[in-house]
Amino acid sequence: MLSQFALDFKRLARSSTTIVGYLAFMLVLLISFFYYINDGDIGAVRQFDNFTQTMTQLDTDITQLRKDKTPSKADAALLANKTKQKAMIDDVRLAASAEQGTAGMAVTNPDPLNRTVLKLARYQLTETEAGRGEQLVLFKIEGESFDASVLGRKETVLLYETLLKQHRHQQYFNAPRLPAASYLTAEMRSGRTVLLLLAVLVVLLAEGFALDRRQHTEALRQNLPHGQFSLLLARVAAAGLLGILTLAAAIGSVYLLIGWHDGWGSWTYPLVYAPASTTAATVTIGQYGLQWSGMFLLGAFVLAAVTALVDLCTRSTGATLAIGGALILAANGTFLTAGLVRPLARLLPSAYLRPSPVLLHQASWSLFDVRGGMAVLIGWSVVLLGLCWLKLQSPAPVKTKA
Amino acid sequence: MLKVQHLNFAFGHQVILNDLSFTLPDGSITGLVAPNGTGKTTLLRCLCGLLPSGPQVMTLNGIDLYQKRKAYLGQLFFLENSNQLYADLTVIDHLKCVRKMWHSSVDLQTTIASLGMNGYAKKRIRDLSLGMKQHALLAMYLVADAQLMLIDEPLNGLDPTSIRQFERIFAEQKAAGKTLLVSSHQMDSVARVSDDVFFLKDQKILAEANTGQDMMAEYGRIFLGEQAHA
Repeated sequence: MLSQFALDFKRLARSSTTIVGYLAFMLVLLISFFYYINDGDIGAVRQFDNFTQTMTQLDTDITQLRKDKTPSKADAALLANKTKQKAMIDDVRLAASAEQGTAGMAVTNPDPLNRTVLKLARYQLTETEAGRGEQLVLFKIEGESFDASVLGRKETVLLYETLLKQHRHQQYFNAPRLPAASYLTAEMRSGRTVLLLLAVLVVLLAEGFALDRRQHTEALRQNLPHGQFSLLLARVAAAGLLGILTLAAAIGSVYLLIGWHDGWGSWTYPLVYAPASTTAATVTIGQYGLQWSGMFLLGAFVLAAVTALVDLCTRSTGATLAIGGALILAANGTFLTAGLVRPLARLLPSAYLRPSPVLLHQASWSLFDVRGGMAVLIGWSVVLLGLCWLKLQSPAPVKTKA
Repeated sequence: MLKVQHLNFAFGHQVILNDLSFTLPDGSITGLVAPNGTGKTTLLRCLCGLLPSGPQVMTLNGIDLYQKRKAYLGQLFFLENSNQLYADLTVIDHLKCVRKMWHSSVDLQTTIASLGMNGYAKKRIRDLSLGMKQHALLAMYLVADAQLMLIDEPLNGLDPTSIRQFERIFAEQKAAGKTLLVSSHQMDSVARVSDDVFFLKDQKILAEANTGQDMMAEYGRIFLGEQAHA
């Protein structure tokens, strides 16, 4: 099996499809880069706008409350609350203005802004925990999903605590220009990008299985004095591993390109997520990248097993692409939260094909934890390969004379 | 020794092979001769299980293809033609693979040298001429070192020097105890190397021992209905 794996791997690696796949992976990963190539780094400006919107809303609320000359006790308390928020958001805007004013200088100190935002975030957490969340005017963080719950507030507090502790400038993962490490993280978190990467992978896998048919080179494989299943496993492993290595090469190339153009960034930048329903935690984007790669690898082997089974049963590249494509489309939240699918979603491989919602616990559909998700993906790979084995055991129809 | 009993094969209702029974002894070369489209390649494919024939039809040294497929295939080598080689891999890639797959101990460099392939052993198949590819294919047979060699029209695209070289190698393999079934349209070559000749006609095999007769005349008599000259 190892020698067949080596042969398959070498063969597939030398085919022009692999070069095309590499370029396709690069293109998918660079869509955002090329789309925003003429834009500046306006993430901080957008975030400043978010702070300003919060302040404007608080101004409006306060003005409205002050119109009441004989406020009730509750209204008076609400006015005090809003005024307190307004004072804090003013401090935030002031610090943000100061930071933007020094942008472009050799060294800017991120701590004043992080400190003021942290103060506001802690206040908002305390108020939310006290059941007065509806009185708050929450600020939106660019590139992060908005969550008004206590958990969402805890995540915000933890983010700014970590940034302050590490003396880091905040990065906005939807910003047009990001340093390389953050850019790749943003792409890994993007559902669109991951689905496109999976689509390219399916094409590579399908081509890997179709290559013998297209080049009329099936005969040597069929005559080998080895079990057909071990030969199939070798092909699945070779095609899957090559697909992953091609993607890894594309990611490496994109990292170099973005790093050269926009800076390298830091792999220790923190991401905040909620590993349980009541606690928040941080993970560095380097750790996130490794976990993402592991999860993606398992997803790739499920896709490889699916393409192997479909190819074995239909011997049709079109059918393989169609079913692989359907599996990828089924990784969409809309499908996984649909009525009939919802109860079963956590058992489907599609639920775990996009690593980010699993790793950062941000899925809108029901999921097992990361280990459970890995078990589901491995389980499906085993089941699909088992079906391949069964298919290979079934005797070929004997054509004898009529 | 390959033993075939009552081999039948049809594509749908079109019968190709009808109740064939024959034995190929060790240390022999058998020529397989028939016009194009008669079923030579189909027979070779059936013998190695590429086309289904059913159980208890073929045994190779007592091993049934359908009962012990791996053990059966481990004793034979068949690759239909050099177009089935992997275009993106080199000659030596193919030889290494065959050596490992057939658990052979044949020395690659010796084989390459014996076939005069030193100049292109590291070239990709796509860059080789037909004659070079035929040499590469024959090298795979030699490296596999299998007991039974099913060889389909090996002399296509070869110059006279190479044809003589191939014939010499076939004879060496026979002397080493191997069993060769060689399909060919080159009747003079068939006459030079074969111990027996199978003429495939009307879905049956007409077996003739090679006693030095004019094989081209035999071909004309069997397939063209020509009268033998006195």
